[in-house]
Amino acid sequence: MTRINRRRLLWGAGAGAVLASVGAVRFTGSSTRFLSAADDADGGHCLLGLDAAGEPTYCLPVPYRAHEARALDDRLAIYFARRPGRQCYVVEMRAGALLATLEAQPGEHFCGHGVVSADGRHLFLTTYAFERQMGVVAIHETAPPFARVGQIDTHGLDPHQLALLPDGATLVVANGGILTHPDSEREMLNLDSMDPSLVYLQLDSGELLEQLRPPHHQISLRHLTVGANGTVVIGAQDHASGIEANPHPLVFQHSRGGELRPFDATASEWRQMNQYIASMALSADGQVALSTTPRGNCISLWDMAGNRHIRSFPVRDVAGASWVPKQDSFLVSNGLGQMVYLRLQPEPRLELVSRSASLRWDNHLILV
Amino acid sequence: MLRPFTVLLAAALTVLAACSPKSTPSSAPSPTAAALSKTAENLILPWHQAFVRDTSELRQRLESLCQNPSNPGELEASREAWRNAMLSWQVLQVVNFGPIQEGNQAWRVQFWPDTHNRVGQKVEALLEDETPIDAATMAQSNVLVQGLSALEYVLFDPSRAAPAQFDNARVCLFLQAAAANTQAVAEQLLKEWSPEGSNYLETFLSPGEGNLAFPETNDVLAALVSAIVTSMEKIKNKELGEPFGGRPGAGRINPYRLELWRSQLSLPAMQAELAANEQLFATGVQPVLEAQGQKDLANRITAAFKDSRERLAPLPAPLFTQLQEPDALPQLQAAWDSLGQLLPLLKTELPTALQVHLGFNSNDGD
Repeated sequence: MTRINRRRLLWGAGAGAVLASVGAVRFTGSSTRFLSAADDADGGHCLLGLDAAGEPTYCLPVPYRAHEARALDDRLAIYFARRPGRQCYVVEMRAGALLATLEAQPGEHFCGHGVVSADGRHLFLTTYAFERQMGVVAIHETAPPFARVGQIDTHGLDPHQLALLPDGATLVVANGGILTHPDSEREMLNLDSMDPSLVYLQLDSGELLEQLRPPHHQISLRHLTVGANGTVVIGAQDHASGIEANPHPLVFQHSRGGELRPFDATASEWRQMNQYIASMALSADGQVALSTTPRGNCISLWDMAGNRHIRSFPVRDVAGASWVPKQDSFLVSNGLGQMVYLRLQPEPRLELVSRSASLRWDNHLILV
Repeated sequence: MLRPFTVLLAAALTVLAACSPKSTPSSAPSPTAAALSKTAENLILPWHQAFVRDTSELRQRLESLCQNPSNPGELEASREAWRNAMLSWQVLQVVNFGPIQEGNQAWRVQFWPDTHNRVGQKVEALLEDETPIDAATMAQSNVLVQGLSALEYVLFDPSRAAPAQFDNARVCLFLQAAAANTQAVAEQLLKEWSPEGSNYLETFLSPGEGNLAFPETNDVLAALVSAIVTSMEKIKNKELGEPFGGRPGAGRINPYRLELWRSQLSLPAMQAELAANEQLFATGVQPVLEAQGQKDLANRITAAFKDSRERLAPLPAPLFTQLQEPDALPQLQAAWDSLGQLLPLLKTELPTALQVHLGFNSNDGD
């Protein structure tokens, strides 16, 4: 406990500058409702908790950039290493303190995403076994020392975001399909022979249940979210060149046993998204999906039943997104330190929630 | 689809602005506010007005051409009007944020790079089929046929050199529809910037907590610097580098990779775009740098812009033929090297000095 307090004091001194312009500096009191990684004004990497008003509850400097995060239970959160990172950070949310670091196995690195099993006992992390050139879901225990207890082949390179289906027994994984090697950081080594796919994996056996490929081999499937009925919405990043006249679709939906369906949108609407979707979110009733596109500086709403684009709204450098049930709204975050609600009722509109002037919110905003 | 978003955002911003405490207006604007105001009034708005004027002129010239196709002066007058419109566009498109970004309007005006000649193929297909052609259908068509690139093909492509083609009613319908569509894009962009229209001008000039696009003055500066960097990288790497397979003297020369090879306007276009960047820097950024005690960097960037301008000025035109001339290579390499000196100043030193960030998530790639 003493160590945690000392750590917090040390961190608090360093974070004062970061948070000074936030207005209300609240490290205690309000409880953490959201998780996100961020960069500070000097380019330093931080792990943050946010309260319901979008104000930081803690801000923990770390050496390596994180990507997505998840609550392990009421007390602990884990922030997943951004690829090709090898450290995931476990944080005690109330104290805002680093509790443990989960290291990748030799010859492997993490890919930025993970989920917790239905019973809360296991973590599933997308992982690239680069020495074997194999995408895997690494299975770890959620209790210290976070031991590795197994792995599942994802049947594709570059596994990125994954989710549990409502049955709790099936994983869906987006294989980005891009060959990389940590020696060349994030350089894409196989643009001509990319093989992205969406896969469903049986958790207990590791069996491949279904594998679907996008309509073009350079459409890298990366981010996804799952509705209560098991429908998956997927956001892609397209590496094809010279396609501005006829841009590829970037947002898809899929239900087990069906086709991978691209949403209907005009060429102009796809073009606005600049071949790049950062995050996907879905309303609680499963009727409306949201995509964020930082390169096109916009967020887009998608009608799930009609399988079509509804409309887009301008938000600069936007990436993180989450559905907030209590607000009946989407919340998005951006590189300008803004948190913005997209309210759906009475008609869709943007509403600025908070702004942390010295922070640049990294992709992925997670509701605890 | 796009209009309601803008209106909605404007409405949302009004509400937010009403809720947040406004800073008290001071008598003298800050150097940054003054620089941004001058940038909008002396550059951005006039550039949009010029593009409206030149696209309107182009539409009228093409009508005249189609009425008197046998008059030998008409084709040249139309080509000259097209060149003026394209050069106005080269200047305007440097401002790559705000209204131009909604729905990626730029692609509707100019489609480039076009490595597989899709503009030519699509225009030919449209001229051969029998679907109706007018400005309204044009706005909904493939971007390949909508704007100045498609008009360049019909007015300048060697396969369409014969003036007799302008006797063809469908060719004329197409020319006038594409020109009217381009003029409509120009008018729309101006309207979105104008106080009489959507007033993006106010968004640009009123950074603050309630301004979603620009919560701080530095965010406006970041947009300007980012626009300059994007444009200068395009000039160096795509417009000058790609026809040489990378950089002058390095790879296989392919003059068809030149921007605007058909109209042989490649070099004037590069020069106009460079001049627009130099003006944006001198008006919008340099005074801010100097006010922040960064006179040395301001001077170095000013000198580097001047050097690039002077290296581009004497390049032999048209590049379409000069690319292949060994004698021209040293000059082209000198221009390349000069741009190579300028870019790191703009891309690295300038953002550091101003403490602005040129996009975080947009550069993530994850």
